[in-house]
Amino acid sequence: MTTPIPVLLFEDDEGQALLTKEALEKEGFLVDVCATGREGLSRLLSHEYRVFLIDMKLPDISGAEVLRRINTMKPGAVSVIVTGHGDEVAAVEAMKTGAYDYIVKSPYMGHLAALPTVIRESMDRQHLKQEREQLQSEVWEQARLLEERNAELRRANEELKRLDQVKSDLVSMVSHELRTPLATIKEFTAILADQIAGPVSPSQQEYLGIIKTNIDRLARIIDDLLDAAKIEAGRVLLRRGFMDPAALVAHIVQSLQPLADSQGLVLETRVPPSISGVFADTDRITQVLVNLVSNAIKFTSGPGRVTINVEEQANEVQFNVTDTGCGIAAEDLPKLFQKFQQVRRESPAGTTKGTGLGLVISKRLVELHGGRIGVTSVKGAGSTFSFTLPKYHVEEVFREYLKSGLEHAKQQQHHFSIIVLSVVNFQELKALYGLEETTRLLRELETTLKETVRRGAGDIVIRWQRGEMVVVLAEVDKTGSESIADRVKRTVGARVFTVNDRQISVPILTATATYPEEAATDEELLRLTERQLRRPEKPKTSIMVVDDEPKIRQFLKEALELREYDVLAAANGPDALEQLKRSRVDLVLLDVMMPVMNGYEVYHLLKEDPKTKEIPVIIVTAKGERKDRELGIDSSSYNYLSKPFQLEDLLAKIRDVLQNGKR
Amino acid sequence: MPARILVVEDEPELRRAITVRLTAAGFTCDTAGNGKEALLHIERTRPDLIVADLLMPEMNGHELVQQLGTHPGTAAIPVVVLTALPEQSRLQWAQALMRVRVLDKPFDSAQLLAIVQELLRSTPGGSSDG
Repeated sequence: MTTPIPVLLFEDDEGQALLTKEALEKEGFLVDVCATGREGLSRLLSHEYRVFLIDMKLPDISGAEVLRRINTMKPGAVSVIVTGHGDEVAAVEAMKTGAYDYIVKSPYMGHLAALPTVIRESMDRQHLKQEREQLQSEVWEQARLLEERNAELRRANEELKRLDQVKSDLVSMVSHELRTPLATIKEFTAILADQIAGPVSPSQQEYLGIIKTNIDRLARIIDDLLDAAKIEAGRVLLRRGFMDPAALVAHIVQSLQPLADSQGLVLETRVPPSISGVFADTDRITQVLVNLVSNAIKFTSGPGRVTINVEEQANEVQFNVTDTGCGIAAEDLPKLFQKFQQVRRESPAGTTKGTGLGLVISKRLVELHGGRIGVTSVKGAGSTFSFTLPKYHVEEVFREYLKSGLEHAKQQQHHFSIIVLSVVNFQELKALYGLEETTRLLRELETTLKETVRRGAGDIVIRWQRGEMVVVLAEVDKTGSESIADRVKRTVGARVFTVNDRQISVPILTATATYPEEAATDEELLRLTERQLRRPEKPKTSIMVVDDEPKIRQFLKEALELREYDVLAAANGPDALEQLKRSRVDLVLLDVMMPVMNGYEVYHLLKEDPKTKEIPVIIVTAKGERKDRELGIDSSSYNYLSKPFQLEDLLAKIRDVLQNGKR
Repeated sequence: MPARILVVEDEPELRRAITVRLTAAGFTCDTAGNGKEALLHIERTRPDLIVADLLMPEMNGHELVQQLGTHPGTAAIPVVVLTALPEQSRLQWAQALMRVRVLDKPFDSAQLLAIVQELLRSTPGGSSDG
């Protein structure tokens, strides 16, 4: 037998209390009775009860108050309200303040039969509630632990960051402290070698040469260390812009040809003639390619071949450097791009040793550009190092370039100017010479610009937006930007360009905007220059569309506006006539079948008014609607367009009518 | 008259190395240990060209160049700036300062001499003979 469940009953009616006690104790409860609230509450201090049965009407304190105090003293206790008939509202209120259930007294105590079940259900609910609370507190505990763990991780992370910073600072400080003594050693070595301090014997000369080679090597190591530390600390700011892969490769060949020659190697290139430009920091990519090509040369003994091959892919340009050298063992390949993991490769005697950081730096630089780098190699047969760079997409690149340039200037507390150039008669040139020739002309213009704007003073971003913009970005102030603009204008103005065997000059307009004097954001810089360059616009041809069908009206309006017409729309004849009183219109497109006033009526009213009679009209009809004969008018005086028509027909008709002035 | 060069460098030994090199190339050299000393020296004797370190106590090379720029008498003096912080300094000089050239440490003597001669040639009143 299970232990009876202790119940405390608050009930001032002795008879009822007794009946309740009897009924419950038959069902496995043990009931204590108290006649007043105070008595019951004092019992709470000395006895443990699982359940409280509370009559709402007690002689001293109200049942609601008793409930409140029980909940304060024994949070979560199971309380059931016993209430008289008609007092349910108070019972429901009590439920809101923590009672588990309520039961309404029936006149002959019939409710007592249900009471044990009500109590047991309340206890079940309490049990569930406790379980839920338990679970919840476990969840909270987990969350708290997680939060603690996170905080620990954050602290560790911050510590790592700090250490990383210390490391980078150390590296750059050390590099700096090393360079000055190195400069002194180098200079005095050179002074000795140049016999400024007196004659030097041939063997002394040789030793001085060895010292010089090693000074240079040390200097390179310092550069690489500094570079690697900077890249890792995320402090490399790419200065990206348009880069021509062909020009880059030509530049690399020019500077590394002597090295290849000295080792009896053929240095060859394969670059498609029309390779796309890429979006890159030319200096940084030069660094990458020089590294790959000089490595290739270093690890290939003559007679051999180093090939630089550039391929165009869908969204990228891929650079491959292939050698016929000693190759790399498969197990060493993954180590190549890791820090200080110089794979021992036998380099031919006499070549300079590397720092083991070149490929690491190259990898990071390529990745910073959004590209990939990799290698394939066959031991004994040679290696191919490849990397990719994203293609140049004019508008987005331009925006990023502008943003990063400005950001850089802000960081350095510099001025930043944009100088925008626009070809005055670009549209005419395009119409006269065709797109292909004009594009070629623009390229020629770009070359002239690049020659004019010395590198260092500015970077040119070609952004032939609407075919007519070039922007020069430079860290110069207002005066500097104006002098660049002026120089460009004069140089381009003085040049003669050849298009289709004809000699023409290309007049350009310039505008400049400077941060921080005139503008604070990239948007403002652009807006400012665009405002300066805006030409008085030729007024657009204005067409009035008169049609009662809203969808057709809307379609025609959009289609014509797309073709640079101004469009007025009218839903019916009177509306059209009203609008024509106020607005200048060059042509009216008139539907025939309209309510209120049909197209012919509108037409004739237009032709009767001296103010509108010169406006040409195109009448749009469905087959069989033509009533010209009926109206006794010569059909040739109308411009008809039959429904259904193709948009091209309409546009052709509009052009024709506008040109020939036919009514 | 050989061109007069003021060598401004806080490391005495490097200062000496540069002076020996430039003197051997036929220039007349004066020396200063920082920007302040350099300015005092320039008040007495105007050099045709200045070779200056970037990082120096008292007044660094950057400030020196700016100070020179504020006086019409000295604004046109060409300056070769030596730096051990290549990239950072290059950015600082990114402005179109035609008369300033930046040279990274450690530098090649041949490079230094070429730059000195080029700057002297392009400066009115300067002479490139050494």
